[in-house]
Amino acid sequence: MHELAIAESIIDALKEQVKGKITSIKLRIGEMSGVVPESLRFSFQIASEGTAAEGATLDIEHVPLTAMCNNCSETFHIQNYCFECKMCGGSNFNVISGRELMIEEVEVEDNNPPL
Amino acid sequence: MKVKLIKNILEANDRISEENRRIFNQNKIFVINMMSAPGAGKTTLLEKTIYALKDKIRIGVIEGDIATTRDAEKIEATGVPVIQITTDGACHLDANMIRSVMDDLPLSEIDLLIIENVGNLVCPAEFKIGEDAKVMLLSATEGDDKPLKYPLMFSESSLLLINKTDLIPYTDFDISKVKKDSLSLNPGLDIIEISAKTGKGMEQWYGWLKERLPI
Repeated sequence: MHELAIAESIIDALKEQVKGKITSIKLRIGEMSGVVPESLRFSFQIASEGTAAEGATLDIEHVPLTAMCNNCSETFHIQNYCFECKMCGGSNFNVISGRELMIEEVEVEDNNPPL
Repeated sequence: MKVKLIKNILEANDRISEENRRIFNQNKIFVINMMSAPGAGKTTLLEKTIYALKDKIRIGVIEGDIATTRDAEKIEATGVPVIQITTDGACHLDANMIRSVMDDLPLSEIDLLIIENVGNLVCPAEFKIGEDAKVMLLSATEGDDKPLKYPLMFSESSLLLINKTDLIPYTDFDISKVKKDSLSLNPGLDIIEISAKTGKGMEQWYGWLKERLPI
């Protein structure tokens, strides 16, 4: 449901930093962010109308939720939010990915193509 | 032409949230972002808390609601300053909404500001609003599967209040499962069992608040 607010935030962030017509946007979205990609694409279509990002494609990279065990240093993918180390059974860990909501790269139309 | 950015999408919100927090800190206010599903009992909890503490602690409230002012009216009846934010359909509060109403509160006369977020277990967890602590309210009638269904909410909170515990005998709610799953998501989480209706556990909740107030 908050995908529309996220789509608006993407457009606001790009307004500040990017000049020119945007043709594609590469995003990194973590598994634990609760963002549904289809819903974000739909919201983005609406939010981008009349902006420099109108019609831009969203290239969404899904980042799995991973953690590193503080006990045995094993890095593992957390499935079904079961926070338990698969190697040693420890429950003391650091989440290392899966919370991302990042814009990684944008592609902008070249106004002055080489002759 | 490709432009590398590596930019946090919610950076603008986070920045305003930090600014809100700085203003609250200057005024020595402890700020709670209270989150739950609709119907978990946030407004009742708030009313009881205000009546129990308002003679000892100066409390202010920001009420987030999608459309109506009903909750704000109930809080207003307690006599503490309250500001209503009607989000007009938006499913969460964001930092800018708080920024735009905070000057309408007598900040220098408040010790504890409780911000009641929109009833929703997904969206509010992602948007910081300038709070010192997120408090999540889960009621026994919602079911014991919520921590694993809405993990972000549980992993972001400092305190989980389990409400309506007086109704547990009439449900299949397994409170030990909720505690185990919540602590697995967030080992530092405090958990207090309450019933805002009967008063069970409420003293412990007030104690949790008092420990964190800067006075």
